[in-house]
Amino acid sequence: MRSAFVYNFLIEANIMASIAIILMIPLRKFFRKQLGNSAICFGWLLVAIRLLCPLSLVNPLIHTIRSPFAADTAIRPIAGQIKVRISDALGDLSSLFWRADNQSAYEVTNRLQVGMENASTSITLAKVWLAGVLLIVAWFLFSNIRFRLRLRADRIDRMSGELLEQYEALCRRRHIKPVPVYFTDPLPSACLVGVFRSYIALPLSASPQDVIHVLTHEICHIKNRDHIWGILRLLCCAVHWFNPLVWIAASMSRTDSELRCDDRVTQPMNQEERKSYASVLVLAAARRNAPGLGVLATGMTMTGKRLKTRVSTVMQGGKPLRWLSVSFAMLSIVCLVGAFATSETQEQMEMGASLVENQNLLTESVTGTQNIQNESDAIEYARSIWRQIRINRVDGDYSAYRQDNDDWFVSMTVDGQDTFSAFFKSNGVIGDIAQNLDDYRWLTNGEYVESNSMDAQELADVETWIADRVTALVPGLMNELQELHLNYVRDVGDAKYIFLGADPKNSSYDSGLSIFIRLNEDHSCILLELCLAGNG
Amino acid sequence: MAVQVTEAEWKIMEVLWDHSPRTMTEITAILEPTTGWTRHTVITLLKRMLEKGSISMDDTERAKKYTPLITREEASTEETHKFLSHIFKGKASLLVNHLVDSGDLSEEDLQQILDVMKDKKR
Repeated sequence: MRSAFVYNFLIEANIMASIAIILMIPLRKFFRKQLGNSAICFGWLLVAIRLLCPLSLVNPLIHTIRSPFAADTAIRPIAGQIKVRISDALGDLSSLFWRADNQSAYEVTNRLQVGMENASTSITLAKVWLAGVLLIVAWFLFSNIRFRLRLRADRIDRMSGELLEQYEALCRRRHIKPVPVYFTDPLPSACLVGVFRSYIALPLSASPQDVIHVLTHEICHIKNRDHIWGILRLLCCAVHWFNPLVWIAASMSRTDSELRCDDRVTQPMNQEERKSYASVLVLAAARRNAPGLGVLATGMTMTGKRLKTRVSTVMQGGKPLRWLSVSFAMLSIVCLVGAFATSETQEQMEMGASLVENQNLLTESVTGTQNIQNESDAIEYARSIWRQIRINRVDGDYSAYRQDNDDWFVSMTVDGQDTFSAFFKSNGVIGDIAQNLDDYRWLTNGEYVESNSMDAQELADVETWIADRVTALVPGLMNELQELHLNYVRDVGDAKYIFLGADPKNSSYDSGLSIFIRLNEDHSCILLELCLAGNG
Repeated sequence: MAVQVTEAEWKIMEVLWDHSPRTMTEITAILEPTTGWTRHTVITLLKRMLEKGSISMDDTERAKKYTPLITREEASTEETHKFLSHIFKGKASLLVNHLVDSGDLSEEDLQQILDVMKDKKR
């Protein structure tokens, strides 16, 4: 699974679903009576569909929000905007830390920002997300297995006799296929357990007068397919474990399922029967124990404000406004379709792709001779580049990341510090290589003298050195460039930091070459950065 | 370690505290009208209570007889601790405050509590 696919899905699903969840909160609070619990549960179903379906429909207008700094068409416009905003925020933070002389914080934020731009951070985040999903799923499995085993151990007897006859008659009246009922002790509250081979666990201590009310409630859960709802909730929480709104929504939808169940239970009841049913709810609340959110079982118990809502809803009865419920459902479906409309048209994608290609056109102008297929090829190639520019440096720890357009990013760290990075195409044409200075503070603290001039011979020697180096690294590139021009020279102690550039001969190319070197006192040069890809 | 008595087991213990030893048939006959429990239910519960050590069984005669091994006070103390820790976070004072505020404790009850506390201090 490519990280772009995961990135697009998670960003879009969470943004859209979070908006929907925030809208659902006041709807449930202020319009429950008018809308009805069924309509509210339908709303939650649509939220779950958005959270779980990695679908994307074409939207003819979505291209208008594509950031020009996110031209990679693998990332859709909404996700691209988020990526750019995060990258900008990280850039601002790293500048802040740099100015505050907080080297460690600067390095972290700078590394994250670079990672956002070359997708290494996205890949890392995708791995963290997947680890979270697996952990949550493992926890859910463990909770459910433990719950089922405990229930089985505490099972006393299967329901039989007169009570069973009453139960079967109740199921016939409600047109529900009966499931097994087991008396269990201890069990604080009755629950419908499991999804595929469901059964009802009933507290052994339940009084015979209350048992029928309790069973009515539990079989209405079957009718409402609440056991399947449970799986949907768990899936949403597992996939979107990092979003607290999803967990809140899962808890709220569970409450709403109980209330919808109460509606179904009390619909044919008269006022006396409703009162009797409400008493059972209150008594169950005294036990204050229902299965947790991670467990695939319903629980009759609610306490506090939710119990108050529940009891008053039961006692008041009343029907929702049908026209409002239907309008809400239809509007919600339209909003759901809109929430999936996040893709550009084919034409817009091709236009975007050509933009991406244009940015790297200079690198397309030279012929690559490599065939880099995997991470070890990429690392080996990066080592060869490294040897060419700083032969005496000790090997460090290499990491290689494949970009979505099959370009490669390789970084090397020594003692945990980023030392060298390279960005190249799979045919070996270099886009950018850079090595970190030991100390960049002079750059921002102004501890340099901007001389902007060099001795003519010195400049000629530097230009020859650069031409040799560039030819060795990117054969044929010098033929595509005009003359090198000097951008700045900064004297720092006995060394000079020199930034030069060369425009492409062909003006249709998006950008030329920029190169940053250090000229030491002994006239030796060190290549600090070479950039062809438009950034750097 | 204190024996935990569940809500259902408590009903059986009440029957045995009232009078023991009793047979399974006697226990079922007493409990069935109010609980609807069958013999099988009672047998399963008794078996579990034997394993937990809250009752003992005498099988020297034809019909097995059951006797409680914990007193009502011991079981009540355990339940009170559980209740306190669940509802009042283990603080008896909170329970007393609640009972006083709600008017559930009479003057006589309060005096009895004070007398018990004085005895404990000695």
